[in-house]
Amino acid sequence: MIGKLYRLEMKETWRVAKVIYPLMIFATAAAVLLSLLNNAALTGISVFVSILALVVGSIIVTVQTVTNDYHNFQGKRGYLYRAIPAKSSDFLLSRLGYYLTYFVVTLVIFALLLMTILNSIMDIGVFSVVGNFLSQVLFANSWGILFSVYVLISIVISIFTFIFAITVGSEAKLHRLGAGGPVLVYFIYYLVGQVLGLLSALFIPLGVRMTVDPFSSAILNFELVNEGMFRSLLDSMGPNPDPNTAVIGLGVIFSQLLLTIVIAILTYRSFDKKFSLRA
Amino acid sequence: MSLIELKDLSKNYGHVRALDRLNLNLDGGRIVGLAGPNGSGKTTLLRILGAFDAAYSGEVRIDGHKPGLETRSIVSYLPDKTALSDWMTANQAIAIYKNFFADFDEGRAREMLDFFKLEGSQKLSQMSKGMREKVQIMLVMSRDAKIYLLDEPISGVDPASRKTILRGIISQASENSLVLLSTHLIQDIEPIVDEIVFLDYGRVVLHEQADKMRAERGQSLNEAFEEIFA
Repeated sequence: MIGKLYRLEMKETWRVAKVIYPLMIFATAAAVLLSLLNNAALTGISVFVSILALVVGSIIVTVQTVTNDYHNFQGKRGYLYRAIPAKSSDFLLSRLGYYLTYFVVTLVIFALLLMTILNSIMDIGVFSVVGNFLSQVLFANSWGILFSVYVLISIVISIFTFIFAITVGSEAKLHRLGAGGPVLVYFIYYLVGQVLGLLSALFIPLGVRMTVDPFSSAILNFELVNEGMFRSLLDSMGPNPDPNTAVIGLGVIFSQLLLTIVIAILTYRSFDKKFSLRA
Repeated sequence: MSLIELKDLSKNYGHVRALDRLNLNLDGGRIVGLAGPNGSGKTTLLRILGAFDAAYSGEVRIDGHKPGLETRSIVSYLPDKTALSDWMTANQAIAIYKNFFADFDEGRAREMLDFFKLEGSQKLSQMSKGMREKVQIMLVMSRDAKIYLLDEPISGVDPASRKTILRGIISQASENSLVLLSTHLIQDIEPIVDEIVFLDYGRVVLHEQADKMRAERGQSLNEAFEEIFA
């Protein structure tokens, strides 16, 4: 059932994406071909226009992804989607897959096309620079790999947040706000997330001490420490601050995880038990 | 046990009370007309029964279950608006229903498509309101459901199409199923309903067998409607 629901939702947004993605590729190809003419003015304009097209195209697909999901589950199409005898977990997992697919595919297409455009106008090989960064910096040590995993998890959490805002923001008690309900819920979530994130980074005793070379500003050392950012922050404001070391609080990971669990539970409960179609 | 059992069902939209301690029992094997003026609570009631609105108080039982996962597989719901995307064709809509509803009968859907003289390959965006209504009715009535909830299936369509739509509904409803259809076009549904429920301000003001009402009160449903709501 999850696969069927996923395909149904994918189809709705694919109607837009199947036009936008080729347009983004066409804009990139045009910019690359025009850059071969070695006319500085023409190259400048075409690069500007093509990068603008990539940004606008990505935004359109992303906005369509979110609004289609809203219409599928809260708008008129909800009379079809919510009539389907599937479990709440099936709906939620298929939506997660749907968001993940469009967000990641759009991001990858955007990045690859942007690199292609830059590669055509810069003397350095952009692909090899990025490749070297990935292989020699990001994936060369466990910190880089952990950071990459964190970025991936953050994308999934962002998707959860969209589903949460649409679902809880559409509860019957917020019915009068219309589409403003999800916006309000997202805003509240954002505020709570920021405050909780700051407090946990300051006070949860887990962090990374970073030592920086005073002359080159290069990072010399990462060290896991049992302290939050609070002491480091106080020291930096004290009479003898050490500008070459800083502690970055990792407690934010726990608060983000906790918040994600809370919104997942709220979404699950709300999806079946408290909703009221907007249409 | 009745197929639909409602006890003290209430529903508010902010300060506006849409349903007010409504009590109603409906059995299978009947075609029931749900009538009342605009804002009387017909659509709200059907949405709750169809599990499209979970924010209510009171007790709702559909074949013994609360509206939700279990009831979705036995309830076929026709909304008062088009739930399908404009880009879809009738054939694509049939494929979607076949994919998701185990009780969907494609053969029956094709028969109804012919009966309504619709082209399967025509997009909804190219269809008139009446044609789109017929597509939705074709989909909803092609399910072998215990309960059909039809919200204003004949409003906004011409009189000839109304008759065709109602004939289509009667022809597909199975013997033991309950068809609950809301409308304010009483004279159109009069020949087909077994029972009538009149709603006003979210309450049942009359629930009667159609034949009994005609015999005892000497009134048609339309005359009773006009007398009660005038």
